[in-house]
Amino acid sequence: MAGHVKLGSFEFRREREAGFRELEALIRRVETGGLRSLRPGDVLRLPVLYRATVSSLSVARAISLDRNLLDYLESLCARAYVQVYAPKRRLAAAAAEFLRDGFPFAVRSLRRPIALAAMLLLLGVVAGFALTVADPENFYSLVSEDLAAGRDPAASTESLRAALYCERAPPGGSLAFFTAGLFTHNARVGFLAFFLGFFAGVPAFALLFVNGLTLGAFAGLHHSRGLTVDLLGWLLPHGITELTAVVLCGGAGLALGSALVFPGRRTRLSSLAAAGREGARVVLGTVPLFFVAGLVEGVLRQTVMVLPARLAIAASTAVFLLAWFLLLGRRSK
Amino acid sequence: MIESGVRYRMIVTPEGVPLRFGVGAAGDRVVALFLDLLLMAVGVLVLLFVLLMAHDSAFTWSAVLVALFLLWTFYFVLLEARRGDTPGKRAMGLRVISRNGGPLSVRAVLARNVTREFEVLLPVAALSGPEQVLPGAPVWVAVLASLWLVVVLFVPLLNRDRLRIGDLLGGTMVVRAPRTVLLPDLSERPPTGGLPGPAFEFTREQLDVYGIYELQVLENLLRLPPEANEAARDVAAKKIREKIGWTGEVTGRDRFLSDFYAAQRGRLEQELLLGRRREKKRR
Repeated sequence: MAGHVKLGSFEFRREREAGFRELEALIRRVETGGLRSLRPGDVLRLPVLYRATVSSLSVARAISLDRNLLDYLESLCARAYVQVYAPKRRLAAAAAEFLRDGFPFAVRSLRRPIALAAMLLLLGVVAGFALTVADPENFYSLVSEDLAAGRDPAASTESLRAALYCERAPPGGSLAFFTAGLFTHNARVGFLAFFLGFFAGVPAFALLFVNGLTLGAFAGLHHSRGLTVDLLGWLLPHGITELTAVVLCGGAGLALGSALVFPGRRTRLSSLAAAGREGARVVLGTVPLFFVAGLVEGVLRQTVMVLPARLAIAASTAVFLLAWFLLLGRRSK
Repeated sequence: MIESGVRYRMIVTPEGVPLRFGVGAAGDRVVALFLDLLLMAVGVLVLLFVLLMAHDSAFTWSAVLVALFLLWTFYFVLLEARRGDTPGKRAMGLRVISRNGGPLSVRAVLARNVTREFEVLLPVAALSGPEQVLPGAPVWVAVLASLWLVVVLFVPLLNRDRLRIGDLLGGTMVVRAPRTVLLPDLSERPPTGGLPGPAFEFTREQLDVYGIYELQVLENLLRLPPEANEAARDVAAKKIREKIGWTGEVTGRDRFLSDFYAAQRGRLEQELLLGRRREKKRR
């Protein structure tokens, strides 16, 4: 019948079918073996064939009523599309570039919600501190019994001091295991703070503030016994890194909440996606921060007992973090 | 857009062409997750076995703990960032794509996976025991939190594109990656042992009865082997003869149907070129 009924769509297909088949063969190879399985010439051929086929799909939609051809082109284009636009980066290079440029840039781009998160935490600290100093009994409602582990207003000043300097036998019996536990637990809390931001930011608010309250209560207790500097030496070496990481995650979460509640000119969905992608970069960057904080808390705090040394560690982490976030990643993107 | 039970979503590629993607079904995605978890569990068991055979010490255990965390956190991130799917998704014919049509970026993949634990595993833990979610909290708080988490678990069922919260944050969605095979053009294939040229000629009036929908129903019928649907072909041929007022002899039924298909498609495609798209039959 071909020679008789001259269908335009038939001719159209006959002229292009070889290209479709070639693209399909290439895509099948990429799907099973990855882009590496293609010869150099084929790699160059892939985008050309993809564009040609996508444009054929547009034409076919306009001129052809062959359902099978249309379905085939739809599915072939979809398969080719996900391969052509799949992310393809070398992992090590991407990670290095992320730590050098991407992470500090992402942190600065979210500076407002991050500052808000820091303020919430600080507000909690101040409130917890003031409440405990005003009436030590308040400590019991601010800090759970498990966490206090005997370090409460009933304890003597001497035992509080001893707790700051004694080598606490870590659960599990080894520093390494303790460190690993701290790292994984804290990183989960960070992820949770980010996720909670999605619910209009409210739970993230609560999480930051409550953590601040606990910290403030401890600070108030030790302050009332004249142990402020010793507590700082116990807390800050890992605390600066860890609290920074928590604040970064919380800030990324607050950015989600504000993107959802105040989408501006965008649709809510696209504003949420933009904030989510930016926030995810910040959250990724906090993973090494949590790791370092866990290392310091798990190992250094149990081994370094001299106050000036502890404060020096704390100060150097602060300087390092500030320099990282403020100086790096300034090149135009 | 829903067609034969599958939801579709148009994604506009950077070339400006809308592509049609089937939305990944919730059930398929659950199965894919289970497959991935199974794979991870096997990997973890092998890792544990090898490590403990080699060196059973506290340090090894802490390395295992960190490795587990990293595996759980980055298994999905790395695989989806490298190829847009995981072994589980692949087995179920699913893929992750970017909803705005652009390339799937690493940060999009990150955003959709950072929340995975709290969306999927925490609710399951909450179902098994509310006290695990907020240890130390009053019972009613724990129960409320658990209820809330269960709502989160069902978010994908509450929207058309089956987006979970991670998909909202990443601007991604999970789609089906089915494969369609290109079959021969029906207007070319001569019917069983036929002669060149159409045996049946149709008038313009006769071709103006049916629309695109009927044409494609006929296409589906003709693509099945004749032995499989003798009765359906008889009915279709009879229906068409009545509808278009065919008065002539019908010697070969299959020949009649495929000639009609070719002529009808030619007519409708011609109309299409003139900007007239007739979706359905007139009466």
